[in-house]
Amino acid sequence: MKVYEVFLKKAGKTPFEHAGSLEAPDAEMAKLLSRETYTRRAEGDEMWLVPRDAIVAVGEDWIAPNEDKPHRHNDGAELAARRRQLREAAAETGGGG
Amino acid sequence: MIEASYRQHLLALADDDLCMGHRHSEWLGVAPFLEEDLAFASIGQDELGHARALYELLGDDVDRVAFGRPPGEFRSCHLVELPCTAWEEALARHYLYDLAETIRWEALLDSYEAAIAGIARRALREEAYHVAHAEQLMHRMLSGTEESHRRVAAALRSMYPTARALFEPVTDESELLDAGKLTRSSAYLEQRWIDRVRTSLGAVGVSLEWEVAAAGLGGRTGVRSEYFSELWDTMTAVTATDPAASW
Repeated sequence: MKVYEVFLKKAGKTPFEHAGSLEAPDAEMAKLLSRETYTRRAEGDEMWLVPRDAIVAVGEDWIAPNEDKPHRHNDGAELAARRRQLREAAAETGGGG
Repeated sequence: MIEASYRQHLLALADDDLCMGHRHSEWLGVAPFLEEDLAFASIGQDELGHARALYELLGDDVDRVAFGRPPGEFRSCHLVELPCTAWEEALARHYLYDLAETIRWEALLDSYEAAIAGIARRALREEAYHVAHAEQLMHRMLSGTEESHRRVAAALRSMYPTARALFEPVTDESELLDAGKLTRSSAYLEQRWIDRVRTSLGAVGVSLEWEVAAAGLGGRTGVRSEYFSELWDTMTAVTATDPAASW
């Protein structure tokens, strides 16, 4: 038996999301068994079934050194505030903008 | 307006689906593995839905049509009444039944009653999954281990004579055919089903003795099998407690 990871996607501009997994001997059976297990309430319009052994898993030991770098978390709020301020100042002086 | 003889013909299908849906539901929580549990229960639920759609057409009170008739007025075949307490039996029945049901719904696609043709179209969308599920599991079991082959083949052999009685005609079938209300005889549908099952099982090296004459069981004319009363008591337990309960 192989483990298949199940990903579902709703129609439109939504990403595939992990929904769970199931055990099946091969892809055909995975397809057969995933339908009622994961989409019986129309949870998705498209489904990916990915053999778990096809997934390259990367863990904390490799990722963790990036945790303490707040300078990489620019959410743009500061820049947006500054732009707003400049726009308002320009409007007051009647300048073009 | 659906006349009495055509009503019998539709009841045969609706009653089959009601009993089949109920029997399938008995596997809820005890099917061999989780995914199969969900699949089998869903299939059973689909069958109940098919029964309901037909009952709605045949009377204004679905509960009365489904549970308010005496057993002698049921037109189900004996196959759907069997308990099938072993998984291989439930699988063999599911396989034989859904291959037959598909052929029966296809024969209703050109029904003179547009509403019935509509129900048939919808049912067939669901039947495609039922058949894929049944056939794939059947093939896997028959080409799996020595044990899976032996057990499933034995279940098929013990069940197919009863399955065949699925195609016994209702009382007035010849009149319906003469009047053009039915376009295909049950004998014709039976032959299509035999060909379909034969081809499907031939692919995995199993043959059944179709030459043996079918046993006359009488399900379509009101004869109930020995298993019906237990099934009936369970199905009507809620109605018996609360006659106003609705499906």
